[in-house]
Amino acid sequence: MKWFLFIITLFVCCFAPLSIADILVVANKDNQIETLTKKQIIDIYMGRKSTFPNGEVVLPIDQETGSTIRKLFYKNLVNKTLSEINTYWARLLFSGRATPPRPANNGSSVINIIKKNKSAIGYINLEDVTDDVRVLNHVD
Amino acid sequence: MISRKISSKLILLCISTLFSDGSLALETNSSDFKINGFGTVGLTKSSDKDLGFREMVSQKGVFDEYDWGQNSNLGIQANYYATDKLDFGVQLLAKQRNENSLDKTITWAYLNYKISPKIDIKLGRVGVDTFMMSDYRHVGFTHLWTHLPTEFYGAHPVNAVDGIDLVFKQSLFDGLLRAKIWLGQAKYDFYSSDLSEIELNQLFGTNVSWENDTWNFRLTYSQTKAKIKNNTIQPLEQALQQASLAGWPDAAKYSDLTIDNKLVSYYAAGLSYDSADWLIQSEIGLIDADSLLTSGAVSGYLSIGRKLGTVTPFIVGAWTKSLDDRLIMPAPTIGAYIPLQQISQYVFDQFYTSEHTFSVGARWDVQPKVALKAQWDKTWIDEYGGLTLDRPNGAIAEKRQLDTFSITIDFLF
Repeated sequence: MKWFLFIITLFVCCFAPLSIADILVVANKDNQIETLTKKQIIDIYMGRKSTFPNGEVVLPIDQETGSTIRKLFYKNLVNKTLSEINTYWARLLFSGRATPPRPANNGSSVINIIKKNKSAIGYINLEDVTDDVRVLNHVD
Repeated sequence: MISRKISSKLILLCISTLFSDGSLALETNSSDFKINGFGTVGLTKSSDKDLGFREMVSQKGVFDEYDWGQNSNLGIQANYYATDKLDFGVQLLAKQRNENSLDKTITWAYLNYKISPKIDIKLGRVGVDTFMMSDYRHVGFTHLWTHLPTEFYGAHPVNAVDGIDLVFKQSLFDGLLRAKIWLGQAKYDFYSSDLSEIELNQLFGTNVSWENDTWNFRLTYSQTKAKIKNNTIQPLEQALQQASLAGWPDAAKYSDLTIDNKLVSYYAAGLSYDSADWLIQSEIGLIDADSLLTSGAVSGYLSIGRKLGTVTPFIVGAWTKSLDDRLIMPAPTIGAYIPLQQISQYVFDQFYTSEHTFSVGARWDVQPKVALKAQWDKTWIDEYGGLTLDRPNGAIAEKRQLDTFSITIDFLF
């Protein structure tokens, strides 16, 4: 019984935090930005700012429409559902005020876009991270 | 017939969207050029043979009948990003209109230049957000309701000007402060017992708003020189002037009817609260007009929605009232002028408004890009007071009640 409790405790301690903090915000390795605060990530992904804090133009990349990671990212970032996010962006897009982040097909395609574009940032699952990108923060 | 064809195509598009994963994106591989769209398939049923429900005064009403045309549309927008600073946008909207033309189909077409990260300037046909939802009012997916509150939005269908706008954006606290000015001209149809064209010249407006992920506050001031082109008003004005010289002197006081270059001012304030559980929104507005036919109106609405997972039930209360009492044409001293008095009164009554509506409904977010909505409206119209409604036989002398039921499927692609 003690062994069983130990294994359960170990599982909760080791794996549970991993599953909560596993969405990483990443950028091009040549980008001079070291980190972004949650507010700065919100400003970029909600279209309130079109530049990094140093004034360079930013190109935010989204994940696939309807994907689990996209759902979790916006839930954690601004506590909104995908329908609410789509409503928000439809208002801005169809009134000509701003353009939503460009969608990519999956984590590796986010990394590929970021590798080719110094201005790009994206969000990926922890298991998709490679040496090709720089981690700016995690969203949990 | 045309509207039926459009509706059947919309239904097919909608069904294909419903059975896809909700991602009917038409975005091209190039990041410089993007095409996006939206649409609504809407069925409306109202209850009166003399009063036709409509969202905007530019539309024909829906009477005691089922109608697929009035609340259905399909929009497509193309954006081309030439550089980081320069982009072009055009939006086309297919919908049922009294008269279709390319000019009316183009919602906007503009060139946008980013002067700095905080300042944008647009030239061309540009959107104006006199009220909170004016510049995306055709995009049904962005509203909680099946239609905008008619009492507030119905009398002012303008959502774009041919001209220029300048936007300033600044982060403030945890949100965004946005100030905008616009200048240009616009025109729209006012469909009553006959069709009038309303021209808004020297249209100037400014608004300031602040929003974060939960709150949105906004204030607007706008003014214009209005002109109404109508086949009845000018002959009536001439007849009253002649009558004033031939035995009915009082008629002169009512003969300045032509609305040409008359100053109209709009004042509006709006507030919305959008949390994980509640969606509350309210606006209040005043239209002040320098005209004998109408001195303007005050209107407002309050909407409360409760989010229960993917379903949001809501209630809405909306009202509008003319600033002045109904204009009464006095009885003529000579019996021969009684028909002229009656025609004058008929025209005066077209411009009087006094009504309110209570609505209840629900929105179901079926997919991240598809929503299904149903709404029932109960409208109370005071004597002669249904300006927002289509009245083919003129204003109604007694109080009336109107029941309107509407369902819509709204989608993005």
